[in-house]
Amino acid sequence: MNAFLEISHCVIGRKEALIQSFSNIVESGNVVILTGKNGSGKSTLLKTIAGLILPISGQIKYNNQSIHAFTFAERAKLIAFVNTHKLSDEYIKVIDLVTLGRYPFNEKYKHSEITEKALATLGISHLANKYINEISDGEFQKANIARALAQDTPIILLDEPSAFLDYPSKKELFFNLQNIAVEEHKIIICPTHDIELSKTVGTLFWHLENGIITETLEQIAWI
Amino acid sequence: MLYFEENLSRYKTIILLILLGILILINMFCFPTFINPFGENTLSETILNSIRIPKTITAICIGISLSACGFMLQQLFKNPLAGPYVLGVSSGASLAVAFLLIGVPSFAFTNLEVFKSLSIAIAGSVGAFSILFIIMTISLKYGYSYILLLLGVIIAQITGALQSLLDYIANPSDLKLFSLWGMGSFGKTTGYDLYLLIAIVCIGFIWTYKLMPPLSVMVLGNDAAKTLGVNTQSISIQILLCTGLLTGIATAFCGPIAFIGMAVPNVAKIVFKTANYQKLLLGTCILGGIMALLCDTISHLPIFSVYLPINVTSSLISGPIIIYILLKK
Repeated sequence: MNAFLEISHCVIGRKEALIQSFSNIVESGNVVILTGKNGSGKSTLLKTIAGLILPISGQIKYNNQSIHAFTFAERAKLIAFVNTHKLSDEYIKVIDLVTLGRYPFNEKYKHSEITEKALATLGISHLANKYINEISDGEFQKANIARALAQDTPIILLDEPSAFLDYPSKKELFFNLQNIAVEEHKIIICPTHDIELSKTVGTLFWHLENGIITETLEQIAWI
Repeated sequence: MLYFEENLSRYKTIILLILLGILILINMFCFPTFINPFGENTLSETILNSIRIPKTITAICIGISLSACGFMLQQLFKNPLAGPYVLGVSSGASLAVAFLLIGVPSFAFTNLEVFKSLSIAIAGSVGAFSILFIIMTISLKYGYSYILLLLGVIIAQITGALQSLLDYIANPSDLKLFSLWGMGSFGKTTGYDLYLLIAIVCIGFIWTYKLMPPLSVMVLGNDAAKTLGVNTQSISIQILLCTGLLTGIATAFCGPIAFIGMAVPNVAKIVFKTANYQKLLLGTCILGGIMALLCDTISHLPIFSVYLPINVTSSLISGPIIIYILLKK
């Protein structure tokens, strides 16, 4: 049986409910494309699944275990999370950034096969020894995603992974995400505004509007 | 490539250690008067044992503790200008010590040396920690940006005002003692004070070293760090406790030393250019020792008719470095 992420009767929000009761089951191998307007609660939903925010009510389970019951360290082996946070430190190389993904496994500051592979998957092996202030925003975004891949978790949450990327890179990235999900049996959830592109790679589509998530087999035109 | 770079950083460390060694020798034997290390002179020996060696050890300890604190605060608040002195932590510690020295009248005449060292150290740490606590509370609410530095300036002004009040009501002998202490000196830490300083700096250093890997994950931001298994809240609190302890003890025994904690970590980053924080911390601490010894050596140069307070030399050396770093950004 496949591994699965189960969201049951979740009311999501920080203090007030942003998203009304939502239930869904996502099996491994799926790419979930989450759409919705700015401020509709996409990031809040993502952070709730990441375990950073407690749901107001309801539960999120992975293989029947509530993800909010895990410790930070246990959850880090289950869920990888990438946001659009900028780094303030300038003397970090791309390879160092990717290696941070191995922190939950106690491999500190060590470059291993898994980090090499993550770099190769995103096609940024040639940037490994560059400092992060020497690369473009798009390349930094890829490095960040490579960090999440290096974390080697069954669930990967990417907050707007295609922001900052140019068109070919976006295309490549979504294609990569699909491959990763299918080949390595991962669940990938990513909010995005790239509707046309994500259409081709997503296997599940959630659209968030007025606090209600509707699941569609294909992306609905919502603009 | 990687192998080469690892070697390079090893060479840099070795060069810095040699520099540290040379400065230790100069600091112990050369200024203000030259002592022949091989001569057999009881007076020289006494000077060496009771003044020079404690002073050198103190300088290294202070350099290590302040720069380690500066490094942690800069990383935690994501601000290259943070440091124990700028954020008002040192002034908090010195206010607490002032209360003890001036406010508790019979304290200066206590004969129990151990008790005296301990209570000064505790007062300093409590003072430092309370300021850190205020800063942390405010920064959690309003973010880590430049408001922190302004806050530090204001806190330093407030504690300064309170200190002036204490000065005003203090009797003249206490006042002289206290204002000398406020200018910073490595030469007054002997006996139990020195043992306590060494012990706490060792504990603080080991603690800091252990905090480095989670701290390096926290460059990704608190949210991402949490999903990598770092309990950011616990790490932040530990950093504040550790910084409070180290700054508190340094300030209690040597006075509020300016700028070393802010300048040294920035220099270390430029020298080592690494994301391996444990290595960076080691480099920072060695550089901190070098900086403190350099300040002390310069303030004891025989060209001045008096010994300069450490704060004068440390500000004169670190100031330009900080201005350079600011302009470079």
